[in-house]
Amino acid sequence: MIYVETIYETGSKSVAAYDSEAEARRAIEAHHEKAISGEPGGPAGSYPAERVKSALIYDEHPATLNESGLLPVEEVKTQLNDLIEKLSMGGQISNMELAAAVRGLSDPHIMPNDDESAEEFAKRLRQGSQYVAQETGELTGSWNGGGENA
Amino acid sequence: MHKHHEYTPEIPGHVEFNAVIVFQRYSQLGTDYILGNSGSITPPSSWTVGLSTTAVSSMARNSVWSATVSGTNVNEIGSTTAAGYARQTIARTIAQAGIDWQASTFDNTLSTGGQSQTADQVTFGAFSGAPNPNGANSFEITDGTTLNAGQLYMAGDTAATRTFANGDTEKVTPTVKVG
Repeated sequence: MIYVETIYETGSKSVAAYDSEAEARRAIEAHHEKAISGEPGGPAGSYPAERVKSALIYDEHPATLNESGLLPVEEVKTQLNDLIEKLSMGGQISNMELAAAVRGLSDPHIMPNDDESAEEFAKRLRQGSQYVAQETGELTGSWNGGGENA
Repeated sequence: MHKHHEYTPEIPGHVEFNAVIVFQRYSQLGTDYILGNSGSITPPSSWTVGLSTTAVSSMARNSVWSATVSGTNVNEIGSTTAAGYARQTIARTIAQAGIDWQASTFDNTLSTGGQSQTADQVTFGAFSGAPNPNGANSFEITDGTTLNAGQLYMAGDTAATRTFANGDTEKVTPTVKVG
């Protein structure tokens, strides 16, 4: 089974499970064609289909990254030091803020970089994946002028 | 303290209130985690949203995910044949990550008020055909990505049964009200 994160031109994203790239391509092309034809997106009929921008392939659901909440000790030590440095002020630190930040270490979603404005992050997010997990490839299909992947 | 929640689906210019339920685990977060700082009863790294064939009227506070259609079990769609179905995620952040929770709002009405929070809309699909089981009657706030597994936190009926086919997507916008 493969997982495909479809990124729509509207900025919406979805993750879907397919048995093969051919199956994924068939499904995503069908939805893209609905959008081109101005058809509804689903059985509810209450929202329009969305044009597809890209489709990223993963071996596992990208949300399984750190799903158990277990992280390598050395990685936590490094990130903890970074968090303490970032959150401390005047020689003190809020342990509640620190606890919340530590809980976020296992979040599978991308977060803003320290030097990134909200607008820059929103733009980056709109154009790409919402997940930290690295995709294994990108699916080609009618939405990006391609067909079967080489 | 009484907790309840409502589901407000994404239907432009129209709001429907469908049957909803809060499961034991979510209530337990309010007691053990918030009041008692439990290290084992904790929120997940990320919320996930699933769809099931089970209507809220068939559920109980101690319902569990299961492929077995029996009693108050909650049966997820696509567990035999996915045909594109997979759980979607809502990040545990507020107005920060891509799909996460919007800033909460307060209703001071004594009898029906509380603090409400709406998630950004999640999208299922695109489906490659009919998943098996098909016919979603409810959505669930849960955790993990394995079908028919994980904790159940909340559920709400869909406005109507959703039967999926090739090329379909489905959109869900959960709203939670705690009061």
